[in-house]
Amino acid sequence: MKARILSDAVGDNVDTITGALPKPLRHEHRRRVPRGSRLGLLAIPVGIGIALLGMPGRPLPPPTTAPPAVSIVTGAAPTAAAATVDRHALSRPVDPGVLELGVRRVILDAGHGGDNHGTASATGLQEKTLTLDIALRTRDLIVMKGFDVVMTRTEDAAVSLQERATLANGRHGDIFVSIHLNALRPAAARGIETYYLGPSDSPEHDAIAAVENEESGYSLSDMRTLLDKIYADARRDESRRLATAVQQALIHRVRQIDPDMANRGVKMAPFVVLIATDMPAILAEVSCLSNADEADRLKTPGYRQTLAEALASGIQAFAGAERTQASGS
Amino acid sequence: MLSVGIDLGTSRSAISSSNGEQFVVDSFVGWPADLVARKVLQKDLLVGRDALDNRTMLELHRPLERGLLKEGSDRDVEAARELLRHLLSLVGAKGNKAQPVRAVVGVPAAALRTNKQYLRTALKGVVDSLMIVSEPFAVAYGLNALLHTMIIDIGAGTTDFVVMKGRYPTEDDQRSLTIAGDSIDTYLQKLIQAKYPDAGFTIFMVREWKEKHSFVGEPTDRVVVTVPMSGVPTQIDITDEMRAACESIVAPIVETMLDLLPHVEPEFQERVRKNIILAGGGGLIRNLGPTLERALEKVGGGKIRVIEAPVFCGSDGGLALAKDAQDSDWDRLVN
Repeated sequence: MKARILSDAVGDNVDTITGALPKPLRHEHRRRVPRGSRLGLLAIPVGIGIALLGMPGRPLPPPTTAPPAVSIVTGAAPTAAAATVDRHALSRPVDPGVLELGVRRVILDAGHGGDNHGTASATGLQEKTLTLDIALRTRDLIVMKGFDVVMTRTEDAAVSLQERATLANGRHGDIFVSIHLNALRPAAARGIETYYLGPSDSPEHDAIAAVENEESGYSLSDMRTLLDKIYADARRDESRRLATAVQQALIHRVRQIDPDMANRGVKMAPFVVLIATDMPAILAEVSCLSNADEADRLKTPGYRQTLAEALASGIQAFAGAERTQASGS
Repeated sequence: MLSVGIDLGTSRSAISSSNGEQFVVDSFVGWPADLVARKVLQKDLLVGRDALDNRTMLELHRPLERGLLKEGSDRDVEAARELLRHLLSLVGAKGNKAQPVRAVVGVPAAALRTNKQYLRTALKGVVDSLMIVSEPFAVAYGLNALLHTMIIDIGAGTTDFVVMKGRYPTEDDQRSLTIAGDSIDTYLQKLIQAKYPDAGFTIFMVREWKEKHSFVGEPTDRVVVTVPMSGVPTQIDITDEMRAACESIVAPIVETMLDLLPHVEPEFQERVRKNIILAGGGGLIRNLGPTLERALEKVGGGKIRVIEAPVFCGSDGGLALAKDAQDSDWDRLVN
């Protein structure tokens, strides 16, 4: 028995040296994965492919189908790993005890900036201006709650997605919250949704990711490296819980003003800024600038303050839940 | 050829060598903070207790955090290398080609493959061949407890669990918690500070008090320590704080222990329950074993055995692995 155990220990080390993927589950617990769910993984390179191809201006995502370019990139981008990874193994709950539990430093990312205006309302209200305002308000609120906050930008400056992720990693943030405003079709559509990193199985989500990934600056080679990180990333479960906490807080607060606000839910999509950050990371589409009523509300400081309060509340709820889990109470 | 087993710990690191030598050092590495410190210390580098005792003059590094090498800091990587070099020098490793070193290093059970790759890269050139295994597995191997046994290894940075089923443990067989010795220290420090706001003490003093007086359940004696208060040495009673801090780890450990048991095949669960080994420095918390046994009563009862001399049980296990591995195995693990 000892010899076999020792041989397996050596084999495990050789796998580490050669960079083989971790064995997902031992055979008696391994679940067969329906072919359809494996296809979901391919959506990562698909979405990133969209981003890499670049999209001039900022068109709204197509309502039902992905752009034709998708099929071109699908064949080229997936790594060998993408085809063999057991998605169920990736989504197994992670013991919070193994993860970074104390949330002290929050990285707040105001989407877009500088030449990258983001989306805009029919009246010319720009996403970059609003996300910065909401992020600054959120910063002020969570600093008062005792968190240390690092902003990826504090003025109307162009900051690449890569620079944002590098800053977040370099400053050792405990969580990363990226603030954006959505643009949806038809114009009457609206709602709040929060994303964390994962394979999307919806062309619509891929398209939204592609828009936010614009000007990522990553090469295909960089992308493959980043994708490799996804498969070893145990922080996804943390990110999902952070996304859930923020989404719940946003819906709860906004529905006090607008009971009909649509809850578009917590979703997975391959946003570059989420791939490249090393900590639990989410991207919140806190409102919808393509909707005229929402755009009117966003003009008022009071509404932006409400959104900031909701974000702060969600972050605090997540941090509190983490502490509770960490202390085992 | 020198074979060594190393428990590279967050708080202390131990080494057991095939030449019979064993050492344990505090996992601290420090460089003189400035030219004055350099002149006073007359050394370019201090490791272990030496570093701790002179910490005010040092740029002090604790290269491991929660049992893993801190990532992103070159200085911490260098500190880890120096710590390992220091351990090897203590057991008489010559550090030349004439005497290659084969090392087995224990890491937390839940260390990811990327963590292991990072450690392997960081230790390039320090040892000739390297095998990295989970720390509780090393303990189990050293105790020859390879079948129907649960190891609970309470270290400084992590508490690691493994259920041995007669095979190399998979990730399903293992768990890591960050509730461990350090979290007790931090909590105890907070509690004492709240009760005695004028008392002056450091986390290092708190750790020493814990190692001397830790307990759960009913106290046998009052825990009284001496601290300066406004410069005057004063005795303070920290019995209640000590108990609360030590008991803070009980619930998560019980929860994890009970969570692992149902994963054992039903016919072997009772055998595992009666074969639980408490290892690591945290295992020495007085009355912890009986407390965990009481928690097992609701699932049919069990038996906890406490390793009385836990300092070297991880490194001894690593050494046993290093000695048992064949030359052909080591050829595949060249670092």
